[in-house]
Parts: sequence; structure tokens; C-alpha cells
Amino acid sequence: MRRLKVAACVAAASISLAGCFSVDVAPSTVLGEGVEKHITVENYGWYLLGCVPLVCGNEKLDSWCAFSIFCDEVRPEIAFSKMKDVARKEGYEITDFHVINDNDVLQVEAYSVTIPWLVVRKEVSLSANLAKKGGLK
Amino acid sequence: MKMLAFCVAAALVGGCATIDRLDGSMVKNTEDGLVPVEEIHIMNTNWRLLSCIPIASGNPAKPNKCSCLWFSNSVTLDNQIGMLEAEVRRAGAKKAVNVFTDHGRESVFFFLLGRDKLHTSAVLVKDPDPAPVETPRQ
Repeated sequence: MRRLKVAACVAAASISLAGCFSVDVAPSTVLGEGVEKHITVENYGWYLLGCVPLVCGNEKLDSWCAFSIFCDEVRPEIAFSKMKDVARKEGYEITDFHVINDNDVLQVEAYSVTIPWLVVRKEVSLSANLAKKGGLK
Repeated sequence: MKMLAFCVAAALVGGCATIDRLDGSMVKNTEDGLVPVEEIHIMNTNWRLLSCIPIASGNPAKPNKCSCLWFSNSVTLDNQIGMLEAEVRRAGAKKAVNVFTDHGRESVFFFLLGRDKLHTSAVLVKDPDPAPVETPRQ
């Protein structure tokens, strides 16, 4: 029974703390002439000492596993390439592009001593508008 | 006392949808000669158990009100854009420019509770008022 509880806790922690790669697109009519959609692409993951990748969201959205282990995929260029793929597939061009690249430190405590920078959460968030090719005025 | 504790707990775990509006005269945006009306910041938050079970989220139909949706997730890009479109109509603006959306996440009690934040900012612009027609002096 105790093993079951530990396994449940580990599974819950893994799901909660592991990264997530997401692409969201929403149509809108108030973004200007020719602009039809707003898109956000986001990924986050955990890094040991801020540089060794532990786990992050899987950029392959059709993969059976939502996570990538020991892969450095929390990078703006990867998120931007995914955004370009979506835009190209639907015949749009990207406008009003913004990027946020963020880091958070997880405060890890061992024997009442806080170890800063042991685990760092990195996050990259891209936002843009999609306009039909040739429709932008 | 139990009722009070329940109300406080419900208020703490409830989500919140807010819209902050800044005066457009402070915004320097002269794109296409359009006049800024307002700069708006739309925020919606939720709480999730173990990062996957929605507990509560803000009500996008009633922003800035003490209203939340229980056991559903309204923190979506569709709802953010819906609130933005409602703001454009309310302000009588022509369109929204400089639209930017940021998705934030945080965990409470290590991994027990997760909180999503979706923040969208934009500048609402309108056509410039027509210049007054000067009558020629006789």
C-alpha cells in the first residue's frame, strides 16, 4: 500500500512538474484588415543548475509522449519554427511578433539549507498575429 | 466560523477575469495615423488540482466582477480574444493593434495546486476625428 502511495505521488509530481509544449490559435475580426488569427506558442521545462536539461515539453505535438527528457527544447527558435509551420500550413504570414524568455528558480531545501539555482524552470512564450498572404494592408 | 472559512477558501481558490484600461492619450501609437483610444490588459486565471483537474477559473462573460466558473477551465486563447473583441466594441474602436499574449504558470504546495495565468495586452485605435471645416472669411 505504501509503494502504491509513493508511485501515485511520483506520477502526480511528474505530470504536474514536467514541461508542456502548446500551440493555440484563435480567430478574430478586430486585429486589423487582413489579419485573421492570433497565435501563441509556449514551452517550459526544468534544468539542473540552469543548464542541464531534465524534462520539458515535447515539440513533436503528435508524439505519444508530451515530454522530452534530457532535451534542450525550451528555445525561442524551436517555438518560432513551430509557429512558422502552422502559418505555412494554413497559408498565413506572421505579423506583430513578440517573445518572452523567462527563468524561475525552484527553491530546493535540504536539511534546512536552501540550495538556490539547483533546479531552474525555463519558459519561452511567443505571440503573433496571422495574416493571409497578400491580404495585409 | 466554518462558513467563513469556507468562503475565504472559496475566494482564494476561485479564478478571476479582469480587464484593466489605461487612457489612450498616454500611448504613443501613430500607426497609419490612427488615434489610440485605450490600452487594455486582459487577465484570466484558474486553479488546477495536480495540474490537470480544473477547480475554478475566471468568468470571461463577467470580467472585473466577483464571479468564477467552478470545475471548468476558461483560461483559453479563444476566451481572451472574445474579451478583446468585446472591449473593441465597447470602446467604439476600429481595431486592436500591438496584441500580445503571455501564458504563465505557477505551482503551490510543490505540485498539489497549479495556477494558469493568461495575459493579453493591446492598444485599441480608432480613425482620427475629421478636421473642423473652416468657413472662409468674407
